[in-house]
Amino acid sequence: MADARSEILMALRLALTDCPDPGPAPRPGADAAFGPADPQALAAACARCGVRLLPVADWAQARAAVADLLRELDVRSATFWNHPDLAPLDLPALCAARGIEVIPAREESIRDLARADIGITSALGLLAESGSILVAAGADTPRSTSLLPETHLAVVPPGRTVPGIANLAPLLRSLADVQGRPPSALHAITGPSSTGDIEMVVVKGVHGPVRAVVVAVAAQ
Amino acid sequence: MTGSTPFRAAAAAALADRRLRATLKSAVAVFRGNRARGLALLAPAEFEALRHRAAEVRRRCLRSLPVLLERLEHNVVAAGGHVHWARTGAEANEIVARIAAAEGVRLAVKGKSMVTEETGLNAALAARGVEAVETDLGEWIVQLADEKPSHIVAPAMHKNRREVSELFHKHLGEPLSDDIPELTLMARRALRARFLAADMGITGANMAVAETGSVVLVENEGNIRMSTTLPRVHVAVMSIEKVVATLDDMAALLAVLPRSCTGQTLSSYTSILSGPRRPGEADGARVFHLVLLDNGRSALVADPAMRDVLACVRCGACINVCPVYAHVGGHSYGSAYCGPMGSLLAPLLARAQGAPEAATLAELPFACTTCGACASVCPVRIDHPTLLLELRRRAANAPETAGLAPLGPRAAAAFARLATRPGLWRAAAAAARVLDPGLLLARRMPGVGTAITLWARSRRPPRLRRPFSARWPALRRSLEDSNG
Repeated sequence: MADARSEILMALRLALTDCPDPGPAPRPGADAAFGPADPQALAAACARCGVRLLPVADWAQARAAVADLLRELDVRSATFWNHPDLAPLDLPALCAARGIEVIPAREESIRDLARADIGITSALGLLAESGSILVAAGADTPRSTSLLPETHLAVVPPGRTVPGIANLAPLLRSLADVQGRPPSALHAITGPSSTGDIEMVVVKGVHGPVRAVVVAVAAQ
Repeated sequence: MTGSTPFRAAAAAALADRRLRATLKSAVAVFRGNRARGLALLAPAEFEALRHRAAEVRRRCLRSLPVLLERLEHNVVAAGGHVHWARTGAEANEIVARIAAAEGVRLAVKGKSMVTEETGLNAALAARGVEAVETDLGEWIVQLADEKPSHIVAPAMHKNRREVSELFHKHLGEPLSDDIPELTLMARRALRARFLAADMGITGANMAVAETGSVVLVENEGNIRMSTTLPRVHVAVMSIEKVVATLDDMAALLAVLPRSCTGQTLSSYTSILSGPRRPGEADGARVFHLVLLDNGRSALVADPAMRDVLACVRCGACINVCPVYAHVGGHSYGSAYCGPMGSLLAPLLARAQGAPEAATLAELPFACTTCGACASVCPVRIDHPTLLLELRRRAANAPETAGLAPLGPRAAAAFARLATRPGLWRAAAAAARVLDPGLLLARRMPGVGTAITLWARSRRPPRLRRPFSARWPALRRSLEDSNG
């Protein structure tokens, strides 16, 4: 008896003898990952999906917005990406000044991130159509930072507007490594985690963060 | 056929359950409202264009299925993953159980997956000493209650807060509560401990992209992100028809899937996973396996009249608008799949698998009212009623299921002759109008009578009035008179 793989493929080939191969897939729609900022569309989309959007003019304002948020949420412990995008915020100093415990994202103790009140990341892009925060996994961008803490804050540098869902295709292609592989994970985070599984009543904060906040730095 | 059948008995029980009917009625109303609000953000022509594109993607990818599956396999392996092929549900379960054994897995956390529901994976793993915990809130509630999901998107739609609270009280020792956010918090606490402890995460896949070897997962709760981020091993089980060619195809389907399902532009989390974690990364599964399941699909591809059923993206929109589903609920269908898509997929797959329940499931298409609401909302333009009628025709023509047809072949042929001859029809209708306007005598006739009786059992029978076209002139005169 043939193995499952060849049997399934053979059955499919025989099954499709009635219709010609459609040939290569068309590539309609978007060919660029990024587009011009559309603050109004983004604000509306964020409001719909429950992302709290804080637009700021520059990095100094971004730092102030982050400090305000840490105060407002009474953050005692934080974890953040060690990524160049976040360097202008000087998060270690910001946390030290407020006496906030910093929980590092290490492979052997990644579950400790569940103790953090807030996880701070940057983002590859902001998807204007849906209000999504786009994050990709990498050595300095762990997945758990945007998943385990109660609040996820993304501080997004200027020029990162991804206009629509169709632009996800060119975005992923632009992220391919030397072997042509996309990142091991790309997440479009569209609001806090939510459920409607009991009586269709929407509750924010199930398994992932209860709160999703974006500080978006405007282009100069 | 006049006797009871599993579907008829289950439907009758569901119809008699007032609480269930009230729950179903409000749940489908919420679904319909959410979808309408989501679509109202787009111009109608804009959504039609998205539907057109999504329909094209699904049909084209089905036609190049073997090539796409090979390309997918190649690219998953290139990204560091493993690919397995399973002809049957039992083979798929065996593959997952072997992976679990090889990796020393004791506890697996699961994302909601219709395919593993179809294969009965949880029971197969339990038999091997692997505990599989459902982590989608609704699916977990159903698992605690030892029941089956009643909706492909909202599995515990049939349960109210009190029943959920009683379950949590019994299984978690939590105090009784009728506060839904509080109940959700209890689930968050209980399941978080399982996520942190699990060795393996098991998910389905909304689709896979041949171009990159990526698996795409769409969810709102974050349980799938947990299941793919924390455990050492991630196994995705996907039926073979869900592969698409390119990232553009993926985007085209993402543009219609959440909108049709919950009205969201995108769900809370859309994850595009390409192989296991890479060197230097601190989290994400170290090992990734993709199990490709046939379980009757290749036979369905070989059936050109029915191939379209495989275009389904499992958004649930057809279920939420179906008047039959709204009355009888998901459990009546006796399958993991319910509503219009389930009435097609369940009997077709069972027949292709040679499953013993094939003859019973062949009844599902007969429950359809042919109203067409399903086809009008389907994001990939599946024409459910036409396909359901074809399945009825096939059932009537097969000896083992011929009894499902309400009219025998001779009575059906006689009715067809009558219905295709306007003169004859008018004469018969005129005679019946005089002699038997409530169709009470007709029900005693052999053949046709049985069909009318059956039909009238759960519906109000029609009254044989003169056709509207014949009544209109007089009606118009009376309207004109009353309007002066």
